[in-house]
Amino acid sequence: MTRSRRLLNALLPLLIVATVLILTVLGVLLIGDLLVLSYGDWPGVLTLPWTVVTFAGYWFLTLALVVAWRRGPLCSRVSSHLSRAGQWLFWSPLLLIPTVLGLDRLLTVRGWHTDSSQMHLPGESFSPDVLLSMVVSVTLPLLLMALSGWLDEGRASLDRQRTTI
Amino acid sequence: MTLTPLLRTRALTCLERLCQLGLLLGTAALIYGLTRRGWSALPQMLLGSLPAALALLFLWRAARASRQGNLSVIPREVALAGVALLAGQVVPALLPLVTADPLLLASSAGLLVFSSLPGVGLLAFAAVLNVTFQVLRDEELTV
Repeated sequence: MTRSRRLLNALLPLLIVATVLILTVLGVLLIGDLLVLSYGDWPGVLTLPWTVVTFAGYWFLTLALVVAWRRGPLCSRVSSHLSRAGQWLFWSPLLLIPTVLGLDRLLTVRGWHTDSSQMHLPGESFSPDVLLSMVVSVTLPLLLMALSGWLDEGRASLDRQRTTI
Repeated sequence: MTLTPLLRTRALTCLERLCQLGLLLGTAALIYGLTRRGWSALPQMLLGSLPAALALLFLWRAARASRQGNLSVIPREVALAGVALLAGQVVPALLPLVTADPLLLASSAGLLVFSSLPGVGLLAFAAVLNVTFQVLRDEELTV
């Protein structure tokens, strides 16, 4: 077994645990959103699109990780799940901005903000670390899509080698 | 060109431009922050934004290497981006160890599981790329 394969086998369980934890939190958020929405309150409408998109992205990512752990990274289902995860997660940081702005405005309107908890979004989001973190969170789903392409190519190569043998 | 290479090419082109844009915007935000808060805020802003800036730089180099067909470089650059992101998350999370406040320690450990996902993910990503490129190299050698 190569060094990369050993590293992958060590990292995949860690990643599965982290994504399952995130999925659990998102699931609780989703149920909370739906409950709030059933009472006809606004925050549910504001956060529901982001929660659904992020949940779907992490769902496919977890599926890809589990399949990669059990059957190896070159299984065809890994690349298809990764591609879908990338496509869903790409929209997650983009939807987060209107969601946070909407929630901030709603909290201000309802008077739930104290001076210290107010986000002061224009200045805050223009600080370099927040801005760069946001760009990084958009680039990672693009990498997932690119990775699914590489995996397809690797699997096709493996099939050709088996056929030749 | 079939759908998968097209998707990969588009994603990589988009990634390369996004990394350039991110680095430019980061520099602009740094200058804007300096004009608002003064030079005394420079070390704090640099330390805060350095991991993400390094990650973007390495990802940009990986995307450029992919466009140039230089496959052997890509896993190394992706792994370096992962290490940069991981260092940016792990070091602040370990700071409560100094204060030894159990509540802070527990909360930072919980946050660490979530926040280390991109860094660990990129390291796994680099390992997958190594495995895949090894298969492609094997085919070239066989041919």
